[in-house]
Amino acid sequence: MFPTRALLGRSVWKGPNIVPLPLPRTLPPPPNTPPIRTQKRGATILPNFVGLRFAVHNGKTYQEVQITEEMVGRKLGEYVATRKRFTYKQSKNK
Amino acid sequence: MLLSNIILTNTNSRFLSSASTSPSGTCSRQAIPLPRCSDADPPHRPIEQQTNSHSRLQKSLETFFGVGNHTSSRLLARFNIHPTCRVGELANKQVLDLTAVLSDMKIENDLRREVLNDIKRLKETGTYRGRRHALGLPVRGQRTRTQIKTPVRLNRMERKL
Repeated sequence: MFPTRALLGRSVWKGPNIVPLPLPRTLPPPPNTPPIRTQKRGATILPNFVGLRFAVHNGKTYQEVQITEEMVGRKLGEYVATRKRFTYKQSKNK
Repeated sequence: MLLSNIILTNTNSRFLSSASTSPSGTCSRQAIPLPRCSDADPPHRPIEQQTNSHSRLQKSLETFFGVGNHTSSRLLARFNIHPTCRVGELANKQVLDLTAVLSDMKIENDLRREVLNDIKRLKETGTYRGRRHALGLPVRGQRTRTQIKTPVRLNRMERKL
């Protein structure tokens, strides 16, 4: 029995994984600001990220994520899939 | 030997006294009616419906969704009830105590709704875990090459509990 299983993921003394990201100077950022490109999928989403757009690396390309209030406390990578669903492709030459 | 005898007699006497306070003998069906939890819900099933007075109290407590081995044994200890106590042997006061505690706890439909809402929130925000729930695949990183019968059965778009 673990009364606080939520804490088992990461040592408490480390705190959340706070990654220095190039956040915009002005909040909310002006329209047509490019999304923040990052490969730091393990970065914890902080409350001041809400409303920003991130382009998170999925291993191949950068996918855009709009941060909402419910995502706070989770990781950026949770919202960008890294796997492609297997689909069978018929081969032409037999 | 002596000590065990004393304990036995002690438990017996307590057991007898509690039994004597119950309305009529041992075979009386004793309901533990629970108050309605909220508006649209069906009322909680009383313990009577699930069991008869011969069944063990701990077992019949565990028939509630959200009350398991741990909670039921804690409840019994809290009200000084013997672990092998039967439902029919309860005193009226003990029944009332148990009912009061159970109606304060989050069990049955309230708990089901909470769990379903958590899963729904994961799906709506588009997390990896939510997607795995929707696809009917294991959520916590298990292998999927073999043996994924349980998630295939349970994880659906419209999850039932």
